[in-house]
Amino acid sequence: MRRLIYQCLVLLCIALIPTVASGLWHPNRPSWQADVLQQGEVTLATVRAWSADVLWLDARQAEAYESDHYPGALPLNEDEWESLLLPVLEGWLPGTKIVVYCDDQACRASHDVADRLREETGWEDIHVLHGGWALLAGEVAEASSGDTP
Amino acid sequence: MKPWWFLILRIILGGAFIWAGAIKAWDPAAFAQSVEGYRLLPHAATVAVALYLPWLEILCGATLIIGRLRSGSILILSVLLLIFLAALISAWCRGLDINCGCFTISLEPSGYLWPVMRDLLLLVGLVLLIIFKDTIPDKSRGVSR
Repeated sequence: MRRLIYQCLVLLCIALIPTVASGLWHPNRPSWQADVLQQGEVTLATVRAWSADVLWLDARQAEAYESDHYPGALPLNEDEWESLLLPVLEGWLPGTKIVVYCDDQACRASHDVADRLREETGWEDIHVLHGGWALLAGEVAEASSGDTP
Repeated sequence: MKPWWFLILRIILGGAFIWAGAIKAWDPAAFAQSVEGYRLLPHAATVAVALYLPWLEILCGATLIIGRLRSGSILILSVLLLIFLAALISAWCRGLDINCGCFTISLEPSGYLWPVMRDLLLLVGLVLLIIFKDTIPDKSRGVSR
């Protein structure tokens, strides 16, 4: 048993060496800061500051969109891409900025949708909302309760 | 179990963990996103796991093949697989649509059935190594039976 524990400790310690090296020098090392914006992401505050029109796209699954979504947002997810793309093309006007969101910061669907939309349409002003629906939901709920007398 | 079967099993299992670890070690930022998808750990712990786990897998996979520190690597890999299985089943139960971050680093959801089956298969392989390990000499012991 003592030998087994010794072996485990040796392995666990040796693995720390390349771990530390990766954390210091790996070109693709993850950031220790949770709120660092990834490429293509914008904060809600930035979107609010834009003077241009914004077309919101909801990259979540259809059920989630139907359950609730940001006012005026159009659904666009990769599962139903062909059928959902047309309304987006019709809804976009030159000069309009596009902001895509999915569930929260951990989901990747908004990045996938933004990348694919850029690729297929050639539009460049497409952004991903940092924080996603988790951020917007509170605001939508607040607005809804504010509307209720 | 005959020694050559034991060796083949060690090479297959060790190779699988080296492969899995190398893919993650190549792009720890992408792996961190996969780990984050499970929504089980705070961000700092996610980053630590994304940096440490790949190298632990590579090291244990290599020692499994080489034969040095074999008992320790079998135990560590078995515990890791149990943790992976628990995390996968937890995400499955919560209906998360994630990439498991097991053997590929992709943004595409990987589903759950195959990753769970694969982890179970690997675990069975490690259990076989545990059961038969005393019939084969461990190089680090320097003795033969």
